[in-house]
Amino acid sequence: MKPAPFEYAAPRTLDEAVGALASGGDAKVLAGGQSLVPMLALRLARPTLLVDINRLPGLDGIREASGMLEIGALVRQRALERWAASRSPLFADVLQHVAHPPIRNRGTVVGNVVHADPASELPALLLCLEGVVVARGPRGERMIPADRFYRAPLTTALGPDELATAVRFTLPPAGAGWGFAEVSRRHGDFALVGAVAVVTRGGDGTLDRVRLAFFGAAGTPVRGTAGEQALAGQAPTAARIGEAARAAAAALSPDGDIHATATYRRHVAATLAERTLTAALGRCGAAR
Amino acid sequence: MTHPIRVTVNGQEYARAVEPRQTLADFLRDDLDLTGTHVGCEHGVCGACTILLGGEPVRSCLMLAVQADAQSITTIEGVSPADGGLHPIQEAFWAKHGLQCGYCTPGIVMSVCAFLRERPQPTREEIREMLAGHLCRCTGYHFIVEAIEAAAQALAPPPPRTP
Amino acid sequence: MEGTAIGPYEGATVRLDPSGHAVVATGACCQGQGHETSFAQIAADALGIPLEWITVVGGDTAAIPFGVGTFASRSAVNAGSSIHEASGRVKDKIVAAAAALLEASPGDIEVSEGTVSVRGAPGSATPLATVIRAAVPTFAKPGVSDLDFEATVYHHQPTVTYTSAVHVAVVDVDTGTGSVALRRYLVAHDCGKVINPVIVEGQIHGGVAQGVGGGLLEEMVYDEQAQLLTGTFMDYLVPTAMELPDIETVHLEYPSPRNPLGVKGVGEGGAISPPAAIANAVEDALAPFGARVTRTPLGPSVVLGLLGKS
Repeated sequence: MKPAPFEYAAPRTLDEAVGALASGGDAKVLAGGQSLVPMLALRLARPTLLVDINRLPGLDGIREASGMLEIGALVRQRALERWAASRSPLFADVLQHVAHPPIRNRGTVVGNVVHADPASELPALLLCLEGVVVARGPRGERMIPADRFYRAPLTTALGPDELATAVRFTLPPAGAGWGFAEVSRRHGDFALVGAVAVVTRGGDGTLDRVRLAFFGAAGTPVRGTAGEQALAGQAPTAARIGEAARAAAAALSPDGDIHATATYRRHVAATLAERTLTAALGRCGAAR
Repeated sequence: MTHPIRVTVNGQEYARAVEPRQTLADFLRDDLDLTGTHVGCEHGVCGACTILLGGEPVRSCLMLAVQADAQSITTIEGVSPADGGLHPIQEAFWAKHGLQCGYCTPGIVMSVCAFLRERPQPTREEIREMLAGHLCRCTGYHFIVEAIEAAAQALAPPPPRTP
Repeated sequence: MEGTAIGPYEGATVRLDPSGHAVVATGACCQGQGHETSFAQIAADALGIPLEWITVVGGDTAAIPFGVGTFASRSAVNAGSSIHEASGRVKDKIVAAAAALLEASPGDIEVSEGTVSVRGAPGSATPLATVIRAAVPTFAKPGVSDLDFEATVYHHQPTVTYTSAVHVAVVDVDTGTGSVALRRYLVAHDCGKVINPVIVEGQIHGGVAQGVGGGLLEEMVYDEQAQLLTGTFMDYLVPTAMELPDIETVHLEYPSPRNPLGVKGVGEGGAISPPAAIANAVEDALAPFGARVTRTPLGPSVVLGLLGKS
């Protein structure tokens, strides 16, 4: 199908963009378009105005400073993937699971984070790494922490007149280990369920910090806090990791759909939590 | 309401006015008569519409024509040499029976153009991973993989002569 | 086992031009199966001219008015047989003209790669174009034979041919997630005479891919209001190159007695066995758990269900 008619604006300043979003009517931001344009084509979305932000200056930076990674709204997923190839195996692995290269050449990191598909990888990574969304609106700029950002499927704390100008990830500290796994029916598809884990070990070998996040297991990405708490300060045995994984998954209330039952998602969430925590443990001390 | 765009396609500049909701795929096919770019699903999954934007593969069904303003695009029509004949990638697809109905083929060839530039000596696994972004119903992908391997060999620089 | 190549007929008109090049017109249209090659091969063999001299035209009622079409794995048998027979009749006309021109017995005329010669007479080699030209009347004399190098044959195929194959699937099942990975896939098949091995393999590969889709991924799902829930490629899952291995093929040739070429249809057979092969392979992999497979596609959620976990 073809999209329903809409007005189109391509502002050249941030103020113009915010003004266009705030101008009344149902306006949507167009960055990479890899999530929005299919919705327009299937007429699942019928905005009255598209605000194309691709001409805004200063939004295509990837900046690493003081343990934070800031990614501007126009950074393509593929650009971050290339950046990560020599700097962050975690980001590289996660990004390689996002669709396919032609989609990543155009789709933006921030766009994916803000689109908030429950089965997407990057929102879960943002949550796991305790990141922040930088939002600009008519009343100025604000930071929205990841754990307050996701409200429901495709629904975030961003106001209709706000533009996400960047996301910031807290990079895992030196010596942290990471694990990432998802189950999808085909390579590149949305996940049925997935998990990402980052752990650090203390000098005595016990687990210092444990962060675990699930995607595809609820209407938003969720932290596996029951599992995190079960492992923090503990010596990591295989049995403890298994129990923690099951505890984290038991707290989930996934939905069933045509691709997987709720029981499947909960069960496999536990399996993937166990696998990612184990992998993270194995990577402790290696490059982040 | 239409918007003016100036876009370079296969080295030629075009000035047109486009409705915002017109996709780049439809613009290439309907306005520029470049029908080698195919429309298979219009929601970004099948890959038949893939073109090169600034040398990188993108889904033309997921771009609006109005976004192509000031951009440089290559379509399948721009792959064959200007003086006739076939590009080595096209040649390899032909030689290895890497196409049957041909509907998915232009999109795959465009992806391969960029892929082999970035990865001139791919493994079969890497080839299959790149191909996963393109659906084909005719070939089962087996001969497409062989065609891409053959194309990689054809494009590889000749080994230095040892004295 | 598949009954292939349903009739009741297909037709072909084969016509030479003055240079000896041929146009082969048939009702069967090509959708990518390589008719332009395999039909040309049939005609080239039967006519004795090079493959490159032949143009194949499909589905043009101005070129041949009656036909059926390309489906049901029928073209090689039906169109192929009519092309073979029509080419044979044109060959007879070439032989008659050549016999007259070269003053030899028709039984001694050989046509090969577009050159006509008399068996046992080394200096007799004559271009086909010369033979054809000799049939053209001049002011001085009539042609050596009728100026007719054209034939139309409708091949009657009252029933089907029987093609068979054995498929082997080797899978890995992840019992933690229910994911099934297809490690190897092998096909040993008999489609009678193989006209073009690469084209036949291409047909088998494509069929296998579609069958693998049915075995692991593809499903039309409707809700209680009969709304189709798998109406886009995001939900209707066609296999990609990552879900398929290289497909290993063995050709066996047991010619069919039901047509002059001995061919059997092979365009779709690849799609028949994969769901069964994969289901059997998954059941074999999960034998320690006593799993019984009763449906496809075997998505991860279904497979974990076989283990009582979904």
